[in-house]
Amino acid sequence: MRFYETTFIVNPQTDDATIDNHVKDVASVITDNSGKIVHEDHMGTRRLAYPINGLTQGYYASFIFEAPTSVLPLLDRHFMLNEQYIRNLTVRFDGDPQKYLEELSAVLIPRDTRGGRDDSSDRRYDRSRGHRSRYGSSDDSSRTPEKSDSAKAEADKAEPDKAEADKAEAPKAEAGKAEESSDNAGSAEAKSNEPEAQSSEPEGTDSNDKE
Amino acid sequence: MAVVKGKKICRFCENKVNHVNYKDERILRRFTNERGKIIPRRITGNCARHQRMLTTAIKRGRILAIVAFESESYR
Repeated sequence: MRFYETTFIVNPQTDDATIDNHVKDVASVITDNSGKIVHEDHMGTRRLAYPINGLTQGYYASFIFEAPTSVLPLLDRHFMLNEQYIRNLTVRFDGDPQKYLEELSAVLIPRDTRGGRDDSSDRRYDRSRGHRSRYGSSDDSSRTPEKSDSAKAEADKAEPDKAEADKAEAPKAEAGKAEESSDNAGSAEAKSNEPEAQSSEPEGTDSNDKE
Repeated sequence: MAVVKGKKICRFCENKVNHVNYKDERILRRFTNERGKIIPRRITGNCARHQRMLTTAIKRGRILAIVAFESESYR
């Protein structure tokens, strides 16, 4: 007897009772052949990462069970015979399932809350793809210093006074922030900052910022 | 581009993970890039053991359509 874990996807384009029956059928294949179900997990209907047979959603369910090896071919056959099972995967479960279930509650801390190192590594891979402006706020904020430097240089050219250049920089940062939040807060905020930015800056950099 | 200094720590070791769940989309997504490729451990800082587990998990997740084999569009 060994522990196994089987996960399968049922076609969700039927009524709930039918889906339920398909899930129960799998359970009965296991239990009818001297298997014992340790844990069941009905993950429900979720989006598929890629379309399968024209379907974009699937009903996911999963069993952890203890059974003799003879169950596995039967289970496989069960999945093969019914077209309503669109995917299935049965793997050996190493270790103690009980410990695993306890562990499940402890989930990884998302990297976003810890300074976003992971994001920077993502960016390295995306560089060739060129929609950099769409990749979220961390990207924007890291680029703002570069932009404001160039804005400073242009402002210096136009008016050598340093105080003016500093003025130009401040609304710029504000405008950048407003843009980052504009996805959530709407464009009203961004608009309110625009007149200020235009008054103190050359037009070229402003249009650059809007992208 | 800022150069990241200091030693990277395996985030699975930090959390004392013994199983990488192949049904957890969040984890699988975090360690794949936009294309769906597995990010090498020299970038993520994972230890060898956990990278091995993660790789298996991602490959299983691909079979179950939890993460894509490859994708053209950004997520």
